Amino acid sequence: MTPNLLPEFIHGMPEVILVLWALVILMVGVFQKRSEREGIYYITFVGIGLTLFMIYSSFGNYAYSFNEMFKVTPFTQVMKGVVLTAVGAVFYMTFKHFPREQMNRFEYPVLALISTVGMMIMISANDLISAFLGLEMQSLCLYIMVSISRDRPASNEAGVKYFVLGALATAFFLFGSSYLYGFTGTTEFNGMAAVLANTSEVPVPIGVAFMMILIAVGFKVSLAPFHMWTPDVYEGAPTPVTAFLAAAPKIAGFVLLLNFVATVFTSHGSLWTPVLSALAILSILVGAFAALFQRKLKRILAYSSISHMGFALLGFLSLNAQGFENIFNYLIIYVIMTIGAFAALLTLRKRGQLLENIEDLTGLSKDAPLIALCMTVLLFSLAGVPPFAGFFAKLSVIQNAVSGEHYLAVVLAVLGSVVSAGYYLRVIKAMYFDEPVGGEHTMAVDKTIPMQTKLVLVMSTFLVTFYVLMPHLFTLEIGAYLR
Amino acid sequence: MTTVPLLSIIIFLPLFGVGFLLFMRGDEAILARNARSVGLLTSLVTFFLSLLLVVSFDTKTSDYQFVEKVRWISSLNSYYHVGIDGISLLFVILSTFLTPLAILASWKSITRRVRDYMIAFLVLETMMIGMFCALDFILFYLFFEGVLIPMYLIIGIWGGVRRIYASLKFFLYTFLGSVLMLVAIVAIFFQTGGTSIEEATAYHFARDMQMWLWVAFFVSFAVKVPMWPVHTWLPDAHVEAPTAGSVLLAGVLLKMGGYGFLRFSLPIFPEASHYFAPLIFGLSIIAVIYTSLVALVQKDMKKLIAYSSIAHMGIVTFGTFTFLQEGVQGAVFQMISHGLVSAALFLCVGVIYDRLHTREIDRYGGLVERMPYYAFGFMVFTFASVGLPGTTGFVGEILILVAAFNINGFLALGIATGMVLGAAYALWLYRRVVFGALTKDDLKKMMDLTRIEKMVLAPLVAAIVIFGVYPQPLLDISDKSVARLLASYQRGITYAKAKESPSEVKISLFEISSEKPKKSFVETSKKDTI
Repeated sequence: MTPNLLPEFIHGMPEVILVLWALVILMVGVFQKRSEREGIYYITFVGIGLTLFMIYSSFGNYAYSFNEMFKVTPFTQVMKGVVLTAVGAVFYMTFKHFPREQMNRFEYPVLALISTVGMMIMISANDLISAFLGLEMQSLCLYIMVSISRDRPASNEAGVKYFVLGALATAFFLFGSSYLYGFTGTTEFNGMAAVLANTSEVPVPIGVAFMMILIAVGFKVSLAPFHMWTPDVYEGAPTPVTAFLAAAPKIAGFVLLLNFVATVFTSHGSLWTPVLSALAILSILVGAFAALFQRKLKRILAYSSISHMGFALLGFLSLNAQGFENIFNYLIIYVIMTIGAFAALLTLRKRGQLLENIEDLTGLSKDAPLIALCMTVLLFSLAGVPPFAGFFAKLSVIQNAVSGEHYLAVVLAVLGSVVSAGYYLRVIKAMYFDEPVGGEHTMAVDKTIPMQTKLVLVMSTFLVTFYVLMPHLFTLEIGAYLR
Repeated sequence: MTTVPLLSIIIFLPLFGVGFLLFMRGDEAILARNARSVGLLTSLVTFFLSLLLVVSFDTKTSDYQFVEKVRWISSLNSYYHVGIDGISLLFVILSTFLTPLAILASWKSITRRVRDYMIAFLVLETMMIGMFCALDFILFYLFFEGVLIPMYLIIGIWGGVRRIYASLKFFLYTFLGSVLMLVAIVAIFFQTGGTSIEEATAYHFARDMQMWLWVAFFVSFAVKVPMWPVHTWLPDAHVEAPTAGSVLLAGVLLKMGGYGFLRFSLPIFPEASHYFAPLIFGLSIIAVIYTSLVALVQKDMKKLIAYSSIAHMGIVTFGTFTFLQEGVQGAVFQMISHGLVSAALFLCVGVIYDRLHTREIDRYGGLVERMPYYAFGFMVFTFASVGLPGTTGFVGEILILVAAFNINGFLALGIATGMVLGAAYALWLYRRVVFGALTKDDLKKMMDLTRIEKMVLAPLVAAIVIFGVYPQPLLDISDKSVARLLASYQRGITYAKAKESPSEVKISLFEISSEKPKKSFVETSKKDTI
């Protein structure tokens, strides 16, 4: 007798809808002329909106389905909502740029949506198998998206690099999983936790397995020392894809890491705290020092995101309900700042070409005062200077780390943030302090900026600036939802 | 008092002006003119509102007044909590007094991006006032750091030739100093269960904890003051900043460090302050003597005054850590006095810089023949800087000197040496610029003060002379608050002694709020770990 699968699928409805939607877009896209492409992009928004509505209407459920492989709690629902919103915002601000970036293909929204489904499965994963499926579904789509502008060698190169290294990370994940399964006899998180709870000492294979899986997830969220791909892929990928890459996947990766660490290894803090704090510090310092010598804006943002991931990881050093809130508060603010920064990059074109280097921004404050102002606010926020949101984000993860009494890690982290302020200031310096070489009007960025990009830029700047008035905006009471 | 949130209005009124400026449109020239007016008007209204504070301030009590408290960040148990006592009132007035003068001083000299300039100054004013009013650590830190952004832009956009280097150095130096304070603030949160400054003052930290926290706070304040050897950003920042930027930098921003010592180090970490006082004395005396000597050989006027600022602030830090009523009162008074005097001196440099576009001392001489008004104003400020009786400089210095003699005669000797050197470089500067023969051709065409310049300098002359002759009103305002601050310091010390030898002091134990149970994430987390 086959089990009735329908009740199982009910909890995965948002994912199912999104997959179906991607298939619909695929069908529509095949039969559509290239010139009418914008229609699909609008359909994509409808799909994202519909999925958000699905999540909203079933909000508050606690359920396991598919033999406990798939977990639905308000926490995962909130996180899926955040991921979908980030994907939607990135898509909204970038879709007008697709033609110019040579990525005006109907495959792109399909891939983006399927990748999003992968992220949602990662968030809901309660089993190594579903985690792996989600991780790969997300990554495989991203590999193609990175190289979507087929005619540009840089894009192709980035795609190959990302794929090869990503495949290596995948191998690590599987290797670690096999050890875990071999030792505990199950792939399900709660089951593994039950077995591990009975051991006072963590056996060596389990430690190895933990490291392997950490390497794989660390690669996906670009933590040092597994960050090598980040600057190259960020630079090579078309900017709209980079924006996609820099925002939502990080959240999904961190939710997976959190579920994994907090569920499976909850009783073995001594195993992961030193490792995670070391990774966090390393990421912060690498992100800070390596970016000092970069000239390309996208590479700077890549290193900045490495450094920010380090800070988010710092939040893990106190694993309790309040700590969770702080980590995701941090990530949400990071996503807002990053989306804003990429929106700013997308608005800056000179004769149709995106500006790439810091020097290209010289004199921007006169040429495009609004964009320069927004970008300055976002950069100060990324640097963690009060009164902007980035400061409160840093404050909350520092709070976590201090509560775990990791003083050394905190001191190193804040010193790293001072170093990283150095390169954010370089960008601001170029915009405000430097005079354009050939007089004031050589700058002349294009004035035809898609309204959508501008809107996202202004919105994120607004949020980052006025966060100080509502510091609970993203706290989300996650702690209350966890169990 | 009143139900009107007067303090918040004063803090955020400049931001209101900023909002207005942001939405101004129009032709460049008209925009510049309107921006100037809006900037000046906003800061003037802020100043007059802040005078209301003085009028309704009750000098009989040491409690915080005009207190407002609104819940802010619940995860840190933080409040939007502002209020002023006698010490902060003086600094608030100093800020609101200097800002309109700074804006007026740049009336003619700033022609580029006037609107942005005014926005930067008004944001700066909000940050400065807010910082002196904050009664919550996070709020304090927010304003303390927020100051960096407008000041960085002011130096970087409207500064001199090496402005980029100077602004970057200024930002990174002070940012580096203050991040450690942030860690300390979070640590305090885990000790006291909140970020209220008042609660932290009532709380007794363990000795080791005090040491670490004190050091973290010390680093950030020492950079701000600035104390030797972390002073090197100041001469660069001053030299490159536009005149008005220097005015606020020297007038108010340097006081943030001194204010921090008074508000945090002394009352919250009394044992550590006591322990580290010799260090402060040492650094202060080095600062006073060394930077005075350095000032003597400067060729650039602004640099000379910048070094003199470091020396004067050395006297302030010395006075603060004498832990005596006279010393701390003197430190507060000296800070206010220095705020007026150094601001005025920078304005004086600005006046002649606008005419000749050089700050080199050798390029001047004999100005008294062409510029009698200027020579008079400059003279008053020089005398105040030297500490001549009848000026504000004298009052602060004599109080600190008295306190220094109470501590140790040799230390007093060190401070006094610095004061003598101070007289040397200040008077010598005056002699070289104002007196001597008027030989240089371009100086012969120099015009005396314009109407605007007189309007800027006259209030400063008046304030320096009036409060120099009759300092009592200012001393009265801060008297009770300083006494309370020292009482809280004494309580901490006696408490520590009582713990060492419990039989000696028993009575004083009643005054100390008993140690609260330590609130910690680590403990609570045991319950709700996932």
